[in-house]
Amino acid sequence: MWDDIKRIDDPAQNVAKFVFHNESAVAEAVLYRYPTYRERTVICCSTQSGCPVGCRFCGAGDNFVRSLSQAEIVDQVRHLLNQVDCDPADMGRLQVMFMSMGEPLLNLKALVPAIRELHARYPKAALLISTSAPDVDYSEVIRLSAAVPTVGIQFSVHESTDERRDALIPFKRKLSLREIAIVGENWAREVGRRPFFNYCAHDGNSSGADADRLTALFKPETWEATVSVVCERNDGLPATNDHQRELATDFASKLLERGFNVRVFDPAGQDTIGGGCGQLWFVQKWFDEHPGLARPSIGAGRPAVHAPTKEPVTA
Amino acid sequence: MTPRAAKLTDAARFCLGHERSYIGSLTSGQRRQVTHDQLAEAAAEYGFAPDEIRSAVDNAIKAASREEHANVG
Repeated sequence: MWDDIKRIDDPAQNVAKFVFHNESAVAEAVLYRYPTYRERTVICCSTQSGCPVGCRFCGAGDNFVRSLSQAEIVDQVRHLLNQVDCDPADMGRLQVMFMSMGEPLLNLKALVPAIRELHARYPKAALLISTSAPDVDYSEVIRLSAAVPTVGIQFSVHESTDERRDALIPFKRKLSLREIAIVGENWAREVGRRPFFNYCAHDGNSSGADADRLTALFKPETWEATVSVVCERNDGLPATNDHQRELATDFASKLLERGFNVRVFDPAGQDTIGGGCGQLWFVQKWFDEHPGLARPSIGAGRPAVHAPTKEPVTA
Repeated sequence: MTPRAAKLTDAARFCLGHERSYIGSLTSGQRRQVTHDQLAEAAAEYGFAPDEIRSAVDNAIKAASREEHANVG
């Protein structure tokens, strides 16, 4: 299992990052409270060490190590919940999101039993699969979601055209936007719950035309929308700023006008501990220290996307 | 086969795969109607005119089904 676990606390104490490693892998998980653990606890955990998908705004997007085992996934959640001064059964809301590092659906072999085990241990926990939509057998995901009533699914869409999405998410064997729309509709029909799409707003993807294209693909009566800020992938660069937040809230308004239920995701701890999506600072350091284990993924060498600012960012 | 018809056949192949693994309560006829509706939306996106969509979808489903049978054989 994990040989070493480090905890890094945000000074405000509302978010903490945990770095797990053993002789052959590294993982990160993040623990948030809103505003107390008793009221709402959120955990983001990893399903793979590194990632083969190569998303250009993700700090894990340049290297892949291996898929994590069922035990390595479950143990992240178990360890984080052991840190909390509240029994998970007493939490008003507990959400476990498979979105920290790795593509969950490229590790179905471990993800499916991990979700079943987590549901058995923490029956109240909402278990959200966040995916870039690789071309896998979605019938297994639908069967799991039908059997475990707390499973949700969120598709990382992030662009409104396939061409632009291919540049941002270079992994080749993935669904087109139209296919994501079809899979999400099928998931909703068979599972009886609403899927989410996630959209990281930046200067080049947040126009009214983008919102129109998304609305044509993803029916607001079926889909829920999450608009996220682009979190800065590299340690040492400023992560949060007003421009980035305006992009996300303005685009959320555009989707709201078009009939979507929208939530804006702007995670805590971005400038202090790398608490946001793709901010895998400690993992990047581990990659540098373990070149024999961290193999270059399809993202290696491609231009990185940084947090949008009014001034250009130089990495 | 034109590029847009090939693209629609790809989509039909994709939809038929989901139809085969369907686990919900719709009848097979109702489920096939879902496939038709999804492909009609895809056909509109791929540039088929409204009066072409129905036959384009039928052709795409036939082409994808023929491939399935050929693969089985």
